[in-house]
This record gives sequence, structure tokens and C-alpha cells, in this order.
Amino acid sequence: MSEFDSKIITFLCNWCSYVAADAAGVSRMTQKTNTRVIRVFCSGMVDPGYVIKAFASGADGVLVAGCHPGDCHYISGNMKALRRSFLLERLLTELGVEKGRFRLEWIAASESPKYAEVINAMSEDIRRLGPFSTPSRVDEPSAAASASGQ
Amino acid sequence: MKKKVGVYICQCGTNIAGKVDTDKIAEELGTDDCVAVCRTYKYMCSEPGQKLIRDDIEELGLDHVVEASCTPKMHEPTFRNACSQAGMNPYMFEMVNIREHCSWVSEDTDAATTKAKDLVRGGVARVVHHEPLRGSRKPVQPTAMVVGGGIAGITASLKIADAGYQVYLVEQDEIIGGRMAQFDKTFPTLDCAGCTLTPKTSEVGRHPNIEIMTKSQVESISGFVGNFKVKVRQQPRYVSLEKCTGCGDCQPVCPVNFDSAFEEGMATRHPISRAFPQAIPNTFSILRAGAPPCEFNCPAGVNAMGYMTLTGMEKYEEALDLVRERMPFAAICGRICFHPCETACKRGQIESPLSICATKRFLGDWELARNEFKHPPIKKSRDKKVAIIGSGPAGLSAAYYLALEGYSVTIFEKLTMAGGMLAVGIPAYRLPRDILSAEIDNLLSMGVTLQTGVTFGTDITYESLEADGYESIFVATGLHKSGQMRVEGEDLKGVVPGTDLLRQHALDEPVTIGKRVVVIGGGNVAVDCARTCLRVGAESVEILYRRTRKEMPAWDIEVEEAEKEGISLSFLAAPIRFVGDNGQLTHMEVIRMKLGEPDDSGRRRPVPVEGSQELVAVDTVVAAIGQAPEMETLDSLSLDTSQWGTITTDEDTLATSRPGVFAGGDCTLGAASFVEAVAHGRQAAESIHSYLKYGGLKEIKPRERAMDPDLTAEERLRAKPIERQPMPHLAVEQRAGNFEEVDLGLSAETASAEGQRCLHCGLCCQCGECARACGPQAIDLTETERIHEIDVGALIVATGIDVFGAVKYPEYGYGKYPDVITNLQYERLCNSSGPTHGEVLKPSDGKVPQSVVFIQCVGSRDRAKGYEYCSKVCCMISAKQLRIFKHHNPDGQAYVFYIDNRAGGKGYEEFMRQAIEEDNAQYIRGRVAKVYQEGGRLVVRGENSLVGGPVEVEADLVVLATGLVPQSDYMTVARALNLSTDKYGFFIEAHPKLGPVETSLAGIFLAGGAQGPKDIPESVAQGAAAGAEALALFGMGEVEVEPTVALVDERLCTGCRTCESLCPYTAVTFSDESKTAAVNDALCQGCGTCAAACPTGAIGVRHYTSEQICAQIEGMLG
Repeated sequence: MSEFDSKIITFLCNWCSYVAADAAGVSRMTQKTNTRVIRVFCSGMVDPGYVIKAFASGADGVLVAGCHPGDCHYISGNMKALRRSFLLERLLTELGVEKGRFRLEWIAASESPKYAEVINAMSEDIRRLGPFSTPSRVDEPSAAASASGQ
Repeated sequence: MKKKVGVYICQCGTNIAGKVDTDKIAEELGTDDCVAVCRTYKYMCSEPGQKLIRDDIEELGLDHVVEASCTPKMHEPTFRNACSQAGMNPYMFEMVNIREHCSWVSEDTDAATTKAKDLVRGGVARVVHHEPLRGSRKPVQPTAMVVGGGIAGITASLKIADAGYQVYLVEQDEIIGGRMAQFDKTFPTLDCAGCTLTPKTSEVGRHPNIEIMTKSQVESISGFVGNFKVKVRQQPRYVSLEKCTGCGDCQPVCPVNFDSAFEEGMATRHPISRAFPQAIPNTFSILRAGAPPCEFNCPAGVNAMGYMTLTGMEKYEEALDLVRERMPFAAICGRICFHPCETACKRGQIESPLSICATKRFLGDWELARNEFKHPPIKKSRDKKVAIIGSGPAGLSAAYYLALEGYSVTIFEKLTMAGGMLAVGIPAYRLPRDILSAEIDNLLSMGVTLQTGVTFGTDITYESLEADGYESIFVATGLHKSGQMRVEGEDLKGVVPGTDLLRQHALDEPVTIGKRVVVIGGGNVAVDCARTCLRVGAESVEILYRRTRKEMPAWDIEVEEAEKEGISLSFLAAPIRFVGDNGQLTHMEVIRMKLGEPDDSGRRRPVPVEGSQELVAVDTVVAAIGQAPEMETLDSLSLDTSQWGTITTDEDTLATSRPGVFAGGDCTLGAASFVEAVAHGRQAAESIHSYLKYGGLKEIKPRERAMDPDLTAEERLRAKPIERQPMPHLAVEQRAGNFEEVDLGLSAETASAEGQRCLHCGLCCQCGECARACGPQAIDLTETERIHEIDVGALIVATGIDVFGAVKYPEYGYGKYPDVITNLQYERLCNSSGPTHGEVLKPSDGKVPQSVVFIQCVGSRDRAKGYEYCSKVCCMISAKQLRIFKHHNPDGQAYVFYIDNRAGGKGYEEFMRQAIEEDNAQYIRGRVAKVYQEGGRLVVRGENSLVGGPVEVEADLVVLATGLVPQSDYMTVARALNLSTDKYGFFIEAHPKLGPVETSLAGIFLAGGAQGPKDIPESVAQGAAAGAEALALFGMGEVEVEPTVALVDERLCTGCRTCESLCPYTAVTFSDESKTAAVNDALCQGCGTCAAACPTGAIGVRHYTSEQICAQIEGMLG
């Protein structure tokens, strides 16, 4: 069991996925314990720099979860998160972060089973990928700026 | 200076300590540098637990507190408050969730402990960056909005209103009362539902503090607790609440019937109705689904559904009045309109659309035959003169509506006869001259002056009209010039422009054509030219079109008739050269075409096929390839024109670039249709009226929204089995050499039959029968929907429940056998104001049933076909309903197929016992497999799982205990109000135990079935609770607004304005003074989208700063 205990920084939107995570707990839906939850007001609040910061600080994966398109508590913050994620994914690839270590998911307040599923599936993916060894390029968030400048 | 942090780890009994080793975490954290104290306690939320924190703050001088326990959604306010009490700013506190996110989701103590420890470390790392914050205080607007007028909403409204506050009760339906208004009796007392509900509804109705808004829906909400702005969309009732006396005289005259939703389809209703005698509001109201497709698709917006219905009732005069509201020339329109109404008619989705156009022609002809022209009364003369240039359909229509308004109207026509294209463009076999002149004569009889042979620009000018006292001009000169082919030899004798040919023939000028005629073009003008040539003596007539039949703009019926008359059609060919001898046309060179890529109009562009040229002998070529305006005559007006030479106008008002001058019809639209021109005439008349009366342009009323154009099953059932009445035609052999009308028209019988074919898909057809019958003149069919913006401090959502659709269980035969009904339908059968006046009778034959079988859990507790949950009320409903049945028919026998009997509630179990013991109902435990018919009786086959075997019961009536489900439009409400729903669609409460009527949004509360299935007492209790929540808010007078809003660091801001474009609340603006972004705290909601996008990190959200979040990440991973 203790072959590799990954750590996944998980940004949860206060209005949907955080509620789903709470509900999953209330319903005792057993999950992998790899997540390290940070509550945010909106997925649109998650600065791409935070994701890079997480990898630079030793996270093996990062999950951002927000409301389904059309259901954002702040009208459209989730769509802004989505728009950013495409560029962020390319940047992460450039930085040597394998595909699968970063995920953006839509999890509504009512979708506690989905929350547990996503957590378990992502933990499994990252277990398979193994520990994330920080490439020299990712040591500080400022790497983001220089990498995108190349 | 080093910060001192106090860490408190709650064991939550064994909830946390059972899986998380709290002592171990405390021990490890205790050694951290900044942690001054780290304690564990069994229940931190208890008073002694909170005291631990308070004492430490005071004694140890803590700077920050971290509390690791349950979700912050539960106890964050508790602990923030504890910190405050000890003098610490509440924002110096951080809460870590180690219960829902750790102990409750892991079986592995080590793993849960590791995770919990990391989370707490993250909290400690974060909290040292917290800064003291103070929220601002905002006053609370002490008014409430209650959405949903069922018993829950009524209770909430009354509580708030009785306390002295204003309530807006928003109800989607025509009346308040909700589901309870449909019930007959209530369990467990067999009280009359109406007798207990109606005192409440009438109290609401007369309460000075309650404003009922029926037929209304919440569209959107903005603002925050205590200060919401709600947008409500209200559909018209069409019947004045003040004037309606409830006499019901409107009922018998209404010609439309459809299934009543209130009666659950067990009876029909008229669009104008009142659900039951005590309904509140106690006036009638009219249900309309929106503009029906026929009306919506008519350019002039003629109410086809209305006049078709009246024609079906043989009320031709009234029908014609309705036509004239938007189409003054029924006999003309009925002959030449391209009838988009018929294309859109929903009956076309069954077999064929209503013959609307021919019916309108019948009405027009009927009037002309009687020689009694009837129009609405002409208003008092206004002594103002209006000039209309052009006597085509646009000019005539404008003249009609201006004359009605009392204006002195003069039409100036260049030609010697009036009618424009109607007279000189459309051949007489389609529009007989006597019909045209009769309708024009009718118009002139209203006092309109017509001057023919007057050319604008030469005979009269703008200045001369002005000098003659005309105050406004409507230009409707049409398109009378033919388009150019731009082909060599076009000027040869024998090449004739199409519009010229038609005009010359109409004006009885000599028309010289040869024996072999070729018409170039594919529009109606081309077909008209071809058919005219045939009638004036051509031996062969061919229509040459460069595309295919599919692309031909001419109407199918016209092309078909042309073919019948012997005109040949040739496609994918075009002339490239005309060859003559001595200036007289002899041949033309034609090239074949093929279809290429689609052009701007969406039609495929014809492309010449190289080398396919051939020379064809021909005597006359008629070029019917488009029309152009004769703008030279209008030059003196110097109006703005488009690139196609048409006059540019404002789309809504038809105002040109010159004040007082309006333009419409073909000269603004390009080659358009009769009905569009008439629509323009009416539009222009309205604009001219408002220009002359008010000196400005009219306000544009939004058009009524279109109803759903897809046919519903219910509409299909409404279709009377009458076939479309064919239009009789003049025999082909009788057409040659003359211009007799080809379409002979419908008779009174066939026209009425067409009227009866209407499905009344739009519900109310606005025929006006009710308005004519209404004594107090309470009915106004011109009402339109309204949007209200209402400021409220609290909002209560009580939108109620729907009933499960029993058709999803086809084996039960619902919809197939009339005697299989739902329990809500059964309520209507029992109800004395229902379809059977309270008699429980079989819907199939109206006889009293002897054996009634109730089938439980239809849609409930069934993961496969229905919903997983228990609907909670159905067991009791069936017990109640069988008891009512036994009271009606003591000799009858009731059976109940049940899964489990659930009778939790005060007096419920006893009530069910009575059903079993006193009323001798047979309760059979087991699922029903099938309901089928045998020998005229229904048989219910199921299993008896207690005995262990199959069982069959004969039944006269089968009642399905259908479960309670969310309203079908729950998502619309959820989106409008930003509410969360569970997986079924019920709204989620703040806490299942302790916050049953609160939502995650402060100031928005829930009540009744919208939150989950519940019975009446529970709904009432929730309604009262939600009312109390609102009152508590009003009592506070002020609310604290969270200080967690965006903040700009002006030193870092470069003024790139990225944040400004992203903010969904326009809370971020660019300050011209400082050249940086500035945040409006009152508008900012703290979403942080701006912060995430700021390239320099200059903008951040208080309490969610990048410093804090990065520290938390590091702490968790450390």
C-alpha cells in the first residue's frame, strides 16, 4: 500500500465541488487520501501560477474543480478557468509536467459520487505516473514567465 | 516579530478521532516554530471547547487561531465568533476540514492522519499571512419576495406580511394555491383541502402587504443578502383584475377548448377561465402560449388563428374585422399572398396546413358580394394632410390606417390607374381587375383622395406638397424598372423587359410578341410573363432559368399551373448573346450551366459549362430577371439610399433621412411581397401618426414571443378529422386566350370547414368573442408581457413539486386504458368542483367502479425506471383515497399493491389501520407486473411476496400512486437564482439537519416541495420557518458584507485593463486619474477572476491573496 503516496493539490470551488466533497464525506464515500484541499471562491480564481507553484513545491498532481458550464456562481468564472487551462496545459508540457498530472473538472454540488470517482481515478493515474520529479525548469513560479517567453 | 498561532484539533467524539490520530498531530505540530499552543479536545464546538480558544487568546496573546474540525460550512461562524469574543479579529482565524475530507472518507488511520496533518500544516502556514479585516455594514431592504404560491409560499407570505413587511408573491400559474388547490381531502383527518386552503388564499388576496404577481417568473437576481434586485417576467392576464366581476359571461362564447392542466387532463377548459369558484385572484384570466406560428411568421402579423376560428363558427363579419386589424385588403391578399402562415402552420406536421390564404379570400369575396364595406369607425378629423406617393399595396395600406386615424390622405399615382404592381404587375387571371378596383373603391369611400397621372418630381415636388399644407409624406413608389441582363444584343427589337410587358398589357397598350417566346428568369414575374404571353397568342413559351427547379423563387403552385397550361421549363441554361437581323431578334445563344458553390444568398451559384453554347431560334425574349427603382423621380427629396438604390429607412419606424418623410414597400425592401408592403404601410401609418401627434417617433413595442413551433401530442389529439379543402381551378382548356381567374375560391362550407381544422395551438386565438361578451369591458387582448425589477431583502423559493410521468411504466397501461389514472387525477374525480362534481366515476363510461386497485411506488423507490427516493406521501394518499372511495361506495372493494407501508407521522398509522380494518381494504405486498384488459375489465397482475406467488385482481379503476418529482423547469429557477440542486433537481438546503430552509446563499431560503418531497404540514412548517428567517433578517436591520473583495496594489498595476474586461459585475474599472484599475467594493463579489488573470499580480482578493494560497500550498507539501 505504501509503495508511493502522492500528493495532489486540489482547488475546490466553494459553491459546487467543495460542497460535493463535503457531501462525499457525509456519505462516507471512501476515497484515496492523496488530496490536499484548498477552498477557493471560484475556479476562475485559481491563478495558473498557483498550479506551477504546487508542482514546484513538490505536488505530484493538481486538480481544479469548478461548476459546470452555465452554472458558475459568478456568471462565467469557470469558463475563464477553462480558457486558461488550455494554455496552462501546454505550458506544463513545456515544463516537463506529464499529461494527467493536471486536471480541470466540473463537479456540481449534487455530484458527490463524481467527486469521489475523480479523486480515485486521478490518484490512480498519478500512482502509475510515479512521483513527480521537479525538472530543473520548474523551480519557481517565475519559470512560467521565462518558459512562455521562449 | 514571530507570530503566535494556536492550533485546536477537534476529535468530534469518534467522528474524527476514530480515524485520525489527533494526539499524534498535536504532538508533531507542537514542535513547529510558530505554533504557540496545540490542543486536542473532544468537542471543540462545545462551550468548553470554545472557551479553550478564548482563554488561550487572552492568556497567551495569540495572533492567529487554526481550528481543525468539520467543514467550515458548518462551524466557521462559531469559531470566528469565539475569536471575536476574545478580542481577536475574526479573519485572523483559519478553519481546516479534517472530518468530511479525512476521517470520514478513509479506512486507513495512517493515511487519514497524514492527510489531516498536512491540511493543518497548510492552515498554519496560511494563517500567519492573514490580516485583520472588517466587513462593511449595509442596511436591509425590509421587503420579501416569495416565489411560488402553493401552501408553503402562502404560509411564508402571510407570516412576513402579518409582521408588517411588504411581500411580492410571484406565481407562475394564473391562481395561487398550488397543488393543494387540486386536492379533495387531506389525510389523516379527511378535512376538505379546499375548506382549509381557501381561507388562506383569500387572506393573501386581501392582505394589504401582499402583492400577488400571477403568470410571473423570476428571470434573474443580482445583489446580495438584504439588497437583492430581482427581475420578474410577467405574462398578461388580458382580463383586468379591477374590472372583472367574475360573472362568467365570457365562458360560453369562447370557441377554443383544450385539456385543463388544473383538472389533470380529466376535463377541458377555455383559454379564458377560472380554475374553481373560490380561486384567488378571483377573476378570469386568459391563457395564451405565445404568438402561434401562423401569426408569428406573417410579415403583417395578421391573427390567422383568430379569423380561422371565427370563420369556422361562420362569423364572417367578425373574422373580417380581425383580418382588417392588420390587412385591409382580404380579397387581394387571399389571392396573391405567398402565405408563410401556411408554411408554418402546425397542422402541416400532421397532414396538411390550414388553407388560410384561401379562407381569407373567401372572407374578402363574401364582403364584396354583399357590397357592404365595413371598417372600424373613423376617428374625428384631425385636419392634418398626409401625402402618399404611389398607390401600390404599401401606399394603399398606409392610406387605410391613416384615414382611420382621421387624417386627410391624398395618394398620388404616376400611372393612369391605381394599384401599383397589383394593377400592372400581377396578371388579371391571378388578380381580377374588378376585385382590385372594388377594394380600392372601398378605401376611397373612407375619404381618401386619389390623383392618378401625377408624377412626383415633375408634377409635384416636396416643396409644392409642403406649400399645399401636407405635413408628412410616405414614399411607396415600388420597383417598376426591369433589371438589365448585360448581354450582347439586349437592345434588339424583340427583347422585352418583363415588368414592361406586364405593365403594357395591363394598361391595354399594344403588346407585340412573336410565336416563339422565351422568358428568362425564375421568379414569379417570369412565370406571370410566360402565362401572359401564352394568353396573348404565343405558340410556344419556354421559361429559361440558370439554376434548377429547386432554386426557383417562384411559388410552386404558379409553376405547376404554368406547366399545366403548356409552358415548358428549361433549367441550367442562360443566354450569352442575342442575334438579330436588321435590328430584329432572330436567335439567341445559350450556354449550359452547372451548380457550383453556394453564394451569399445560400443558393448554389450557377457556373457556365465551357463549350456548351448553342444557337436557338426565337422571336421574343422576355427578360424577367429582377426589378429596380426609378429613383430619378425622387431625386428632389435627396434621401439616403443603399448600394442597391433602395431608400434607407429606420427598420422600426420607416423614417427616412429627412424628417417627416417615411418610406416603405419595394422601394425600401427591394423586390418583396404584397404582404410585406402592406405591413410597411401600417407601420408607416403608425409612425406618421406619432410624428404628427406627438412630434416624435413611436415607441417600439416588443413583439409577442413565438410559442414552441413543435407539435405536441395533445395538439395532435385536438385535430378534428377534416381534410384540407382543395381550391377549385378553372379547367386548363378554358384558360387559353383569356384572362379569366384561374383559382375559383372556397365556398362558405369549405371555408368554414377549414376554420374548424385549426388546432388552436396558441391556446387563446384572440378572436375577441369574450371581449364582445364582457359587460364591464374587462378584457384587453392587446396586453403584452412586462418585466418588473423589484428590490427585496430576502427571497423565499417555494416552487413546489411535479408528479411523476406514469407513461414511463407502459406495463401499467396509463394513457392506453382510460380507467388507469394517477392519484392526482383521482383527487380531481373526488373534488366537488372537479370534472365529475365529486363523484368517483370511471372515465371510460361514467359508471361507478366496484373494484379499485391502487398501485404504490410508481416512480418512487425504483432506480431502474423512476427515482431512488421515497416520495413520502403516496402511502397515505392511497389510504386516504380508498377511504373516500369506500365513503362514496360502501359496497366497493379497494386493493393496494404496496412495497412497504410508510405511515410515519402524527395520526398517520392509525389512519392507515382504519383503512385496513374499517374500510376492509386488501393490502397486497408486492410489485405489479402488468395491467391488461380482459373481457371489458382491467386485470392487475402482480405478486404477493408475503404468500409467495402470483396474484390477479380484477379492477374497474386502477389508481397509480405516482411519486413527487422536481418541477420540470427546476433548472431555469436554479440558474436564475444561482441555487444548487441535488442529483434529482431538488434545491439543496444549507444543512440537512440544522439548516433545512436556508441555502448556501445568504438571504435566499427554501420552503416546501422544491426542497424535497413532503406533505402539507411539513410544507407549512417550512413556509413558516422560511418566513421567520426573512423576518430575522429584517429584524437585524443591517447585514455585514464580507470584506473578501478584490484590492488593487496601485504600485504594481500597469493599467493593462485585463481585469476590467474579465469582471462579470463591472466592479473593476479603469481610473483615468491614477491610470490603474479601481475596484468598486459594493459591486465586487470576490470571485477572484481578475486576480488570476493579472499579469503583474497587482490585483488580489482579500483573504485569498496569492501570498496566503502559496503559503498554504507550501505548508501542505512541506
